[in-house]
Amino acid sequence: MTLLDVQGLSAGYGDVGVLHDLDFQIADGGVVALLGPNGAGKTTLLKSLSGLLSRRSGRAELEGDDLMSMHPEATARHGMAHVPEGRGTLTDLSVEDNLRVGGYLRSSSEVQETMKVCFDYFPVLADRRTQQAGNLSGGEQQMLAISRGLMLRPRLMLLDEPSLGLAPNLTRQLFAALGQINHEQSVAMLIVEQNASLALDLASTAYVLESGRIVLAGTADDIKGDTSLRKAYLGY
Amino acid sequence: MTDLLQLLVSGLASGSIYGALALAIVFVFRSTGVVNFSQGELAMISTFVTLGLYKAGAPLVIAIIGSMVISFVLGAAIERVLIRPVQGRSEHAPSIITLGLFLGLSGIAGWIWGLDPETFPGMFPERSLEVGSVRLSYTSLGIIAVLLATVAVLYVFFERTRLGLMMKAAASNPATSRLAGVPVSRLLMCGWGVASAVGALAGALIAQSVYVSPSMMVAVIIYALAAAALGGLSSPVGAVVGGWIIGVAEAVVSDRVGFIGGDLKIVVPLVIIFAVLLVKPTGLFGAKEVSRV
Repeated sequence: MTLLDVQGLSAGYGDVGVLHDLDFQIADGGVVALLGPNGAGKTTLLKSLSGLLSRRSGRAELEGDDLMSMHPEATARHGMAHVPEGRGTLTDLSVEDNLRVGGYLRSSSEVQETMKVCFDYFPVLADRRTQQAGNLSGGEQQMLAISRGLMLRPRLMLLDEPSLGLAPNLTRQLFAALGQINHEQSVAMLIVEQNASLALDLASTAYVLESGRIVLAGTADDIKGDTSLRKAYLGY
Repeated sequence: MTDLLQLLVSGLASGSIYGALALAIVFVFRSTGVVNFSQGELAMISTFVTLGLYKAGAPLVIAIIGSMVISFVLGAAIERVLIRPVQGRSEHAPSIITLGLFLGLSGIAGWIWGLDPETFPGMFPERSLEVGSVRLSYTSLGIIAVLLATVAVLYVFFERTRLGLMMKAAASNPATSRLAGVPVSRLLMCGWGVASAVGALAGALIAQSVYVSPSMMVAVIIYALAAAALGGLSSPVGAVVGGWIIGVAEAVVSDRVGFIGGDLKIVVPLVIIFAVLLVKPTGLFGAKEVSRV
């Protein structure tokens, strides 16, 4: 089952085109890694899917609903949770209030329930529930940002560089949690990540973006197994 | 000693007036991140509306409530028509617009209602309470009581209600809030509306000691901005305490320090703000600004 179907997506800022005619799919419950150098348009792609960027054209359907006409509030209602780069937390609110805001679209009993689920994945957030989000460490803020997205009970999460600025062991923990979330909550994921090898371990499919175009598409295993492909496109 | 106590009470009463308008400023800042310099002029318009409803035969309480409703609509309309188009383009554009509004609204008020000062009906009995040798007027006590009730309502609204939390979220990080499905634009509009309604209430309190005219708020808004800044701009309790500090300091200093008297007293709040912000840049009750580099 295809969850997200993108055909001929182009997007940009003002007169500058950033993405050119992209085609790709995400299967229901699947994990897709979006790789490529800085400036390739990965963040722009996530923004144009979630509606943060409105200058876009082409077709993008989430379970048959047209995303191209939706603003962020609407894509959220349709089950898409975008966790933006640089940890989109509400820094002057407490951890718990951040999660409540994340659960805006859910009933209060669902909020209580999902909050427990988040605390199970990230117990440190339960210990810090009354602290101001801005006082958390970088890793904790990332966990909070992901949890904020989870509170929406999404079908699809868009994760923009979850490992940014985190120590290697913390990054591994975070990706382990993401894998668990994907399995247990049946949430599909589109992950933008600099750490290609980690992302390929989690993902089933990967796309490499360069200068706004998809230059390589394949299963994660194929790309991992092909040294020359890896060297040419991912630099390792 | 008695005199000092007397000064303290009258300082608290005038400080409550500054605090009431500061509350409206804090409300806008907290829910939209904009310092609304035209809050005083908006409250002045609201006061004229209250007076108009009263003159048309409405009981004073009904006139005030009616004016609060009309002010809510006016505030929301200003947000939508004048602030929204520039929001997000530049950090300071909305505040500059409110400066323009400051001038525009006072001009419009003069055009509609003329420049002659009018008297506002008293909200409280014109008697006073004798406590020992201190005379407490019902008006002073009433103003303080209304202010305390307002701040309690706002506190509960922000700290205990879902709508209050979403407003804080919308002001804190609009993009992230929208990604969670929070209808940010409607909440910002609502924030301006509620602030204007609070301003209408403040206007009625202010008009207990000031004639109603287009220039009635010019001095008050300076004290109110001072009170809001002193309290940290984002804290309702801070706005009130800031108003009280300024009111009391102004009363005591102008009475006790000979060379300051009535003419130089407007300097008092400035000195206090300077001293406080020097020691604590986020104000007395301001949230600590956290940024990670």
